[in-house]
Amino acid sequence: MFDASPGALAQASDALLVDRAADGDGRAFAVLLRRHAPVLRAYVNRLTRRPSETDDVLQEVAIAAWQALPGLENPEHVKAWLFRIAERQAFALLRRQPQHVELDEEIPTRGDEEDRSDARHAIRAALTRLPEQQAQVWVLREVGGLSYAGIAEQLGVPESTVRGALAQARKKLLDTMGGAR
Amino acid sequence: MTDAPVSGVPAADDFDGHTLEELAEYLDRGRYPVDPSIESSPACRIALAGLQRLREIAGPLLQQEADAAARDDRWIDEVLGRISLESRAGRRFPFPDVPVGTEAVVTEGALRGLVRAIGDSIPGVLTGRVRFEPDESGTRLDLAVDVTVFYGTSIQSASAAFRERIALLLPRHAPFAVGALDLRVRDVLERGPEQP
Repeated sequence: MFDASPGALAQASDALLVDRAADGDGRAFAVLLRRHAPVLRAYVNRLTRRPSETDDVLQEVAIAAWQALPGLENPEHVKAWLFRIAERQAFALLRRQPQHVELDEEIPTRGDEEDRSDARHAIRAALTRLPEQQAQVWVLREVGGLSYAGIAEQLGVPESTVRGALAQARKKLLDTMGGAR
Repeated sequence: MTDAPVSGVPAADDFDGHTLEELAEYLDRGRYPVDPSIESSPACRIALAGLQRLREIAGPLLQQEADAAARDDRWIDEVLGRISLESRAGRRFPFPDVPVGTEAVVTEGALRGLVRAIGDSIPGVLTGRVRFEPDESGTRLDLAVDVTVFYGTSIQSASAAFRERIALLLPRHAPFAVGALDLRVRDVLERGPEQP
Protein backbone atom coordinates (compact mmCIF):
# COMPACT_ATOMS: atom_id res chain seq x y z
CA MET A 1 0.00 0.00 0.00
CA PHE A 2 1.07 3.60 -0.48
CA ASP A 3 2.44 5.58 2.40
CA ALA A 4 3.11 9.23 2.95
CA SER A 5 6.83 9.61 3.52
CA PRO A 6 7.67 10.20 7.19
CA GLY A 7 9.17 13.54 6.16
CA ALA A 8 5.89 14.64 4.60
CA LEU A 9 3.87 13.86 7.72
CA ALA A 10 6.45 15.61 9.90
CA GLN A 11 5.76 18.81 7.95
CA ALA A 12 1.99 18.52 8.27
CA SER A 13 0.03 20.88 10.48
CA ASP A 14 -1.27 19.77 13.86
CA ALA A 15 -4.80 19.99 12.48
CA LEU A 16 -4.05 17.57 9.64
CA LEU A 17 -2.39 15.09 12.00
CA VAL A 18 -5.38 15.31 14.33
CA ASP A 19 -7.81 14.70 11.47
CA ARG A 20 -5.86 11.67 10.33
CA ALA A 21 -5.45 10.30 13.86
CA ALA A 22 -9.16 10.78 14.50
CA ASP A 23 -9.78 8.72 11.35
CA GLY A 24 -7.61 5.93 12.75
CA ASP A 25 -4.13 6.75 11.39
CA GLY A 26 -1.72 5.60 14.07
CA ARG A 27 1.31 6.97 12.20
CA ALA A 28 -0.10 10.48 12.19
CA PHE A 29 -0.81 10.10 15.89
CA ALA A 30 2.80 9.09 16.49
CA VAL A 31 4.07 12.15 14.61
CA LEU A 32 1.77 14.34 16.71
CA LEU A 33 3.03 12.74 19.92
CA ARG A 34 6.68 13.10 18.91
CA ARG A 35 6.11 16.75 18.08
CA HIS A 36 4.68 17.66 21.47
CA ALA A 37 6.28 15.03 23.71
CA PRO A 38 9.31 17.07 24.89
CA VAL A 39 7.22 19.98 26.13
CA LEU A 40 4.58 17.69 27.63
CA ARG A 41 7.38 15.84 29.43
CA ALA A 42 8.76 19.09 30.84
CA TYR A 43 5.25 20.09 31.95
CA VAL A 44 4.52 16.77 33.65
CA ASN A 45 7.95 16.88 35.33
CA ARG A 46 7.21 20.31 36.70
CA LEU A 47 3.78 19.28 37.98
CA THR A 48 4.72 15.93 39.53
CA ARG A 49 8.44 16.31 40.26
CA ARG A 50 8.75 12.60 39.61
CA PRO A 51 10.75 12.21 36.42
CA SER A 52 10.89 8.44 36.90
CA GLU A 53 7.08 8.29 36.58
CA THR A 54 6.80 10.65 33.64
CA ASP A 55 6.88 8.00 30.90
CA ASP A 56 3.90 6.29 32.52
CA VAL A 57 2.01 9.55 32.81
CA LEU A 58 2.75 10.39 29.17
CA GLN A 59 1.47 6.99 28.09
CA GLU A 60 -1.78 7.62 29.95
CA VAL A 61 -1.98 11.03 28.28
CA ALA A 62 -1.51 9.46 24.86
CA ILE A 63 -4.12 6.76 25.40
CA ALA A 64 -6.65 9.26 26.72
CA ALA A 65 -5.89 11.53 23.77
CA TRP A 66 -6.28 8.73 21.23
CA GLN A 67 -9.68 7.86 22.64
CA ALA A 68 -10.91 11.44 22.78
CA LEU A 69 -9.41 12.75 19.51
CA PRO A 70 -12.49 12.14 17.33
CA GLY A 71 -14.42 14.53 19.57
CA LEU A 72 -11.83 17.33 19.51
CA GLU A 73 -13.60 20.37 18.09
CA ASN A 74 -10.63 22.59 17.29
CA PRO A 75 -7.86 20.36 15.92
CA GLU A 76 -5.53 23.34 15.56
CA HIS A 77 -5.62 23.78 19.37
CA VAL A 78 -4.47 20.25 20.04
CA LYS A 79 -1.39 21.34 21.98
CA ALA A 80 -3.43 23.19 24.62
CA TRP A 81 -5.82 20.24 24.66
CA LEU A 82 -2.93 17.84 25.32
CA PHE A 83 -1.78 20.10 28.15
CA ARG A 84 -5.21 19.79 29.79
CA ILE A 85 -5.03 16.00 29.52
CA ALA A 86 -1.48 16.04 30.89
CA GLU A 87 -2.65 18.03 33.91
CA ARG A 88 -5.42 15.53 34.62
CA GLN A 89 -3.09 12.55 34.30
CA ALA A 90 -0.34 14.19 36.35
CA PHE A 91 -2.68 14.82 39.25
CA ALA A 92 -4.22 11.37 38.87
CA LEU A 93 -0.71 10.00 39.48
CA LEU A 94 -0.26 12.19 42.55
CA ARG A 95 -3.60 10.99 43.93
CA ARG A 96 -2.69 7.35 43.30
CA GLN A 97 0.74 7.74 44.91
CA PRO A 98 0.55 10.55 47.41
CA GLN A 99 3.71 9.63 49.34
CA HIS A 100 6.63 11.43 47.93
CA VAL A 101 10.17 12.32 48.90
CA GLU A 102 10.86 15.92 48.01
CA LEU A 103 13.55 16.39 45.43
CA ASP A 104 16.40 18.52 46.68
CA GLU A 105 18.15 19.08 43.42
CA GLU A 106 16.84 20.70 40.32
CA ILE A 107 15.25 18.55 37.64
CA PRO A 108 18.33 17.52 35.66
CA THR A 109 18.77 18.99 32.23
CA ARG A 110 21.76 18.84 29.94
CA GLY A 111 21.85 22.51 29.10
CA ASP A 112 22.08 23.95 32.60
CA GLU A 113 25.73 24.82 32.34
CA GLU A 114 24.98 26.67 29.14
CA ASP A 115 22.14 28.64 30.65
CA ARG A 116 23.42 32.19 30.43
CA SER A 117 20.41 33.76 32.01
CA ASP A 118 21.01 33.98 35.74
CA ALA A 119 17.43 34.99 36.42
CA ARG A 120 16.05 32.12 34.39
CA HIS A 121 18.34 29.67 36.08
CA ALA A 122 17.50 31.06 39.51
CA ILE A 123 13.77 30.77 38.81
CA ARG A 124 14.08 27.16 37.72
CA ALA A 125 16.03 26.30 40.83
CA ALA A 126 13.63 28.24 43.06
CA LEU A 127 10.66 26.52 41.46
CA THR A 128 12.13 23.19 42.44
CA ARG A 129 12.63 24.38 46.02
CA LEU A 130 9.08 25.73 46.43
CA PRO A 131 6.63 23.60 48.41
CA GLU A 132 4.94 21.23 45.97
CA GLN A 133 1.53 22.86 45.96
CA GLN A 134 2.90 26.37 45.50
CA ALA A 135 5.00 25.23 42.58
CA GLN A 136 2.06 23.40 41.02
CA VAL A 137 -0.24 26.38 41.35
CA TRP A 138 2.33 28.72 39.83
CA VAL A 139 3.08 26.37 36.93
CA LEU A 140 -0.61 25.73 36.22
CA ARG A 141 -1.31 29.47 36.22
CA GLU A 142 1.72 30.95 34.49
CA VAL A 143 2.75 28.09 32.22
CA GLY A 144 -0.53 26.23 31.71
CA GLY A 145 -2.64 29.38 31.66
CA LEU A 146 -5.39 27.91 33.86
CA SER A 147 -7.93 30.04 35.72
CA TYR A 148 -8.07 30.02 39.54
CA ALA A 149 -11.20 27.88 39.29
CA GLY A 150 -9.47 25.48 36.89
CA ILE A 151 -6.50 25.13 39.22
CA ALA A 152 -8.78 24.60 42.23
CA GLU A 153 -10.60 21.84 40.38
CA GLN A 154 -7.38 20.18 39.30
CA LEU A 155 -5.91 20.22 42.81
CA GLY A 156 -9.18 19.51 44.62
CA VAL A 157 -8.77 22.52 46.91
CA PRO A 158 -10.79 25.71 47.44
CA GLU A 159 -10.06 28.70 45.22
CA SER A 160 -8.93 30.65 48.28
CA THR A 161 -6.17 28.08 48.80
CA VAL A 162 -5.11 28.53 45.18
CA ARG A 163 -4.93 32.30 45.60
CA GLY A 164 -2.91 32.00 48.79
CA ALA A 165 -0.47 29.50 47.33
CA LEU A 166 -0.05 31.53 44.16
CA ALA A 167 0.71 34.69 46.15
CA GLN A 168 3.29 32.80 48.22
CA ALA A 169 4.90 31.33 45.11
CA ARG A 170 5.06 34.67 43.33
CA LYS A 171 6.57 36.41 46.34
CA LYS A 172 9.30 33.78 46.69
CA LEU A 173 10.07 33.78 42.99
CA LEU A 174 10.24 37.56 42.90
CA ASP A 175 12.63 37.51 45.84
CA THR A 176 14.74 34.94 44.02
CA MET A 177 14.84 37.00 40.90
CA GLY A 178 15.88 40.06 42.84
CA GLY A 179 18.81 38.07 44.22
CA ALA A 180 19.84 37.02 40.74
CA ARG A 181 20.12 40.50 39.37
CA MET B 1 17.78 33.56 51.13
CA THR B 2 16.68 35.95 53.84
CA ASP B 3 13.33 37.64 54.19
CA ALA B 4 14.88 41.04 53.61
CA PRO B 5 14.01 42.71 50.33
CA VAL B 6 16.84 42.07 47.94
CA SER B 7 16.09 44.20 44.96
CA GLY B 8 13.58 46.67 46.27
CA VAL B 9 10.67 44.24 46.09
CA PRO B 10 9.11 44.57 49.54
CA ALA B 11 8.84 41.29 51.43
CA ALA B 12 5.48 42.19 52.92
CA ASP B 13 2.39 41.41 50.90
CA ASP B 14 1.42 45.04 50.78
CA PHE B 15 2.35 47.39 48.01
CA ASP B 16 1.00 50.77 48.99
CA GLY B 17 -2.36 49.23 49.74
CA HIS B 18 -2.33 46.68 46.90
CA THR B 19 -1.68 42.96 47.13
CA LEU B 20 0.54 41.00 44.79
CA GLU B 21 -2.57 39.22 43.51
CA GLU B 22 -4.18 42.53 42.57
CA LEU B 23 -1.03 43.58 40.79
CA ALA B 24 -0.85 40.30 38.88
CA GLU B 25 -4.47 40.68 37.80
CA TYR B 26 -3.79 44.27 36.78
CA LEU B 27 -0.94 42.97 34.65
CA ASP B 28 -3.26 40.29 33.21
CA ARG B 29 -5.56 43.11 32.07
CA GLY B 30 -2.66 44.76 30.26
CA ARG B 31 -2.48 47.54 32.92
CA TYR B 32 -5.78 48.81 31.59
CA PRO B 33 -7.84 50.69 32.58
CA VAL B 34 -4.97 52.65 34.12
CA ASP B 35 -5.07 52.63 37.91
CA PRO B 36 -3.31 55.79 39.12
CA SER B 37 -2.95 54.45 42.66
CA ILE B 38 -0.86 51.60 41.22
CA GLU B 39 1.01 53.52 38.55
CA SER B 40 2.01 56.30 40.93
CA SER B 41 3.41 53.88 43.52
CA PRO B 42 7.12 53.04 43.13
CA ALA B 43 6.61 49.84 45.14
CA CYS B 44 3.82 48.74 42.81
CA ARG B 45 5.81 49.59 39.71
CA ILE B 46 8.80 47.60 40.91
CA ALA B 47 6.57 44.63 41.72
CA LEU B 48 4.85 44.93 38.32
CA ALA B 49 8.23 44.91 36.58
CA GLY B 50 9.17 41.81 38.55
CA LEU B 51 5.91 40.05 37.72
CA GLN B 52 6.33 40.96 34.08
CA ARG B 53 9.86 39.57 34.05
CA LEU B 54 8.63 36.42 35.79
CA ARG B 55 6.00 36.02 33.11
CA GLU B 56 8.60 36.40 30.38
CA ILE B 57 10.58 33.63 32.01
CA ALA B 58 7.50 31.42 32.49
CA GLY B 59 6.42 31.60 28.85
CA PRO B 60 9.35 29.76 27.25
CA LEU B 61 10.24 27.77 30.39
CA LEU B 62 8.93 24.40 29.20
CA GLN B 63 10.33 24.76 25.70
CA GLN B 64 13.76 25.56 27.11
CA GLU B 65 13.61 22.60 29.47
CA ALA B 66 12.41 20.43 26.62
CA ASP B 67 15.24 21.59 24.36
CA ALA B 68 17.82 20.95 27.06
CA ALA B 69 16.60 17.48 28.03
CA ALA B 70 17.81 14.33 26.35
CA ARG B 71 15.14 13.16 23.95
CA ASP B 72 13.62 9.80 24.79
CA ASP B 73 10.55 8.79 22.80
CA ARG B 74 10.63 5.05 23.45
CA TRP B 75 7.37 5.37 25.35
CA ILE B 76 5.68 6.40 22.11
CA ASP B 77 6.47 3.08 20.46
CA GLU B 78 5.10 1.32 23.51
CA VAL B 79 1.93 3.34 23.50
CA LEU B 80 1.31 2.69 19.81
CA GLY B 81 1.29 -0.99 20.65
CA ARG B 82 -1.31 -0.36 23.33
CA ILE B 83 -3.82 1.75 21.44
CA SER B 84 -6.40 -0.06 19.44
CA LEU B 85 -6.69 0.97 15.83
CA GLU B 86 -9.82 -1.20 15.82
CA SER B 87 -11.47 1.40 18.01
CA ARG B 88 -11.96 3.41 14.83
CA ALA B 89 -13.48 0.53 12.82
CA GLY B 90 -16.94 2.08 12.50
CA ARG B 91 -19.58 0.66 10.17
CA ARG B 92 -19.22 -2.67 8.40
CA PHE B 93 -20.03 -2.89 4.69
CA PRO B 94 -20.80 -6.42 3.44
CA PHE B 95 -19.82 -7.58 -0.04
CA PRO B 96 -22.72 -9.00 -2.02
CA ASP B 97 -22.30 -12.04 -4.24
CA VAL B 98 -20.08 -14.08 -1.97
CA PRO B 99 -20.57 -17.85 -1.76
CA VAL B 100 -23.37 -19.04 0.52
CA GLY B 101 -22.13 -19.48 4.06
CA THR B 102 -19.41 -16.92 3.52
CA GLU B 103 -19.35 -13.40 4.92
CA ALA B 104 -17.07 -10.71 3.62
CA VAL B 105 -17.15 -7.21 5.05
CA VAL B 106 -14.95 -4.16 4.95
CA THR B 107 -15.00 -1.72 7.82
CA GLU B 108 -15.40 2.02 7.60
CA GLY B 109 -12.00 2.41 9.24
CA ALA B 110 -10.32 0.20 6.65
CA LEU B 111 -11.93 2.15 3.82
CA ARG B 112 -10.77 5.44 5.33
CA GLY B 113 -7.28 3.98 5.46
CA LEU B 114 -7.53 3.00 1.80
CA VAL B 115 -8.68 6.47 0.72
CA ARG B 116 -5.96 8.05 2.84
CA ALA B 117 -3.31 5.85 1.26
CA ILE B 118 -4.56 6.61 -2.25
CA GLY B 119 -4.32 10.34 -1.56
CA ASP B 120 -0.86 10.00 -0.02
CA SER B 121 0.33 8.11 -3.10
CA ILE B 122 -0.15 11.22 -5.26
CA PRO B 123 3.01 13.33 -5.32
CA GLY B 124 2.61 16.55 -3.34
CA VAL B 125 -0.60 15.43 -1.59
CA LEU B 126 -1.28 14.51 2.02
CA THR B 127 -4.75 13.21 2.84
CA GLY B 128 -6.62 14.69 5.78
CA ARG B 129 -10.14 13.94 6.97
CA VAL B 130 -12.03 11.32 4.99
CA ARG B 131 -15.82 11.07 5.04
CA PHE B 132 -18.09 8.97 2.85
CA GLU B 133 -21.62 7.74 2.53
CA PRO B 134 -23.15 5.12 0.24
CA ASP B 135 -25.60 6.70 -2.21
CA GLU B 136 -29.25 5.69 -2.36
CA SER B 137 -28.63 2.76 -4.64
CA GLY B 138 -26.07 1.40 -2.18
CA THR B 139 -23.67 0.67 -5.03
CA ARG B 140 -21.73 3.91 -5.13
CA LEU B 141 -19.80 5.73 -2.44
CA ASP B 142 -19.94 9.53 -2.25
CA LEU B 143 -16.71 10.83 -0.75
CA ALA B 144 -15.59 14.08 0.86
CA VAL B 145 -11.83 14.23 1.36
CA ASP B 146 -9.73 17.04 2.84
CA VAL B 147 -6.20 17.28 1.51
CA THR B 148 -3.09 19.31 2.16
CA VAL B 149 -0.92 19.98 -0.87
CA PHE B 150 2.70 20.98 -1.02
CA TYR B 151 3.48 24.28 -2.66
CA GLY B 152 3.83 23.94 -6.42
CA THR B 153 1.50 20.95 -6.72
CA SER B 154 -1.08 21.35 -9.48
CA ILE B 155 -4.41 20.96 -7.76
CA GLN B 156 -6.13 20.08 -11.02
CA SER B 157 -3.74 17.27 -11.86
CA ALA B 158 -3.76 16.06 -8.27
CA SER B 159 -7.58 15.97 -8.26
CA ALA B 160 -7.63 14.12 -11.56
CA ALA B 161 -5.07 11.61 -10.32
CA PHE B 162 -6.99 11.13 -7.09
CA ARG B 163 -10.22 10.47 -8.95
CA GLU B 164 -8.56 8.09 -11.38
CA ARG B 165 -6.80 6.05 -8.70
CA ILE B 166 -9.76 5.85 -6.37
CA ALA B 167 -12.09 4.83 -9.23
CA LEU B 168 -9.67 2.02 -10.00
CA LEU B 169 -8.85 0.87 -6.49
CA LEU B 170 -12.02 1.37 -4.43
CA PRO B 171 -14.07 -1.37 -6.19
CA ARG B 172 -11.25 -3.84 -5.58
CA HIS B 173 -11.42 -3.32 -1.83
CA ALA B 174 -15.03 -2.37 -1.21
CA PRO B 175 -18.51 -3.25 -2.48
CA PHE B 176 -18.78 0.18 -4.07
CA ALA B 177 -17.96 2.16 -7.17
CA VAL B 178 -17.00 5.81 -6.76
CA GLY B 179 -19.88 8.30 -6.82
CA ALA B 180 -19.30 11.96 -6.06
CA LEU B 181 -15.76 12.92 -5.00
CA ASP B 182 -15.53 16.22 -3.16
CA LEU B 183 -11.87 17.09 -2.74
CA ARG B 184 -11.15 20.07 -0.51
CA VAL B 185 -7.70 21.63 -0.27
CA ARG B 186 -7.39 22.69 3.37
CA ASP B 187 -3.78 23.76 3.50
CA VAL B 188 -0.76 24.42 1.32
CA LEU B 189 2.62 23.46 2.76
CA GLU B 190 5.72 25.30 1.70
CA ARG B 191 8.38 22.66 1.36
CA GLY B 192 8.55 19.57 -0.80
CA PRO B 193 7.47 16.23 0.64
CA GLU B 194 10.90 14.63 0.27
CA GLN B 195 12.68 17.14 2.49
CA PRO B 196 12.16 16.01 6.05
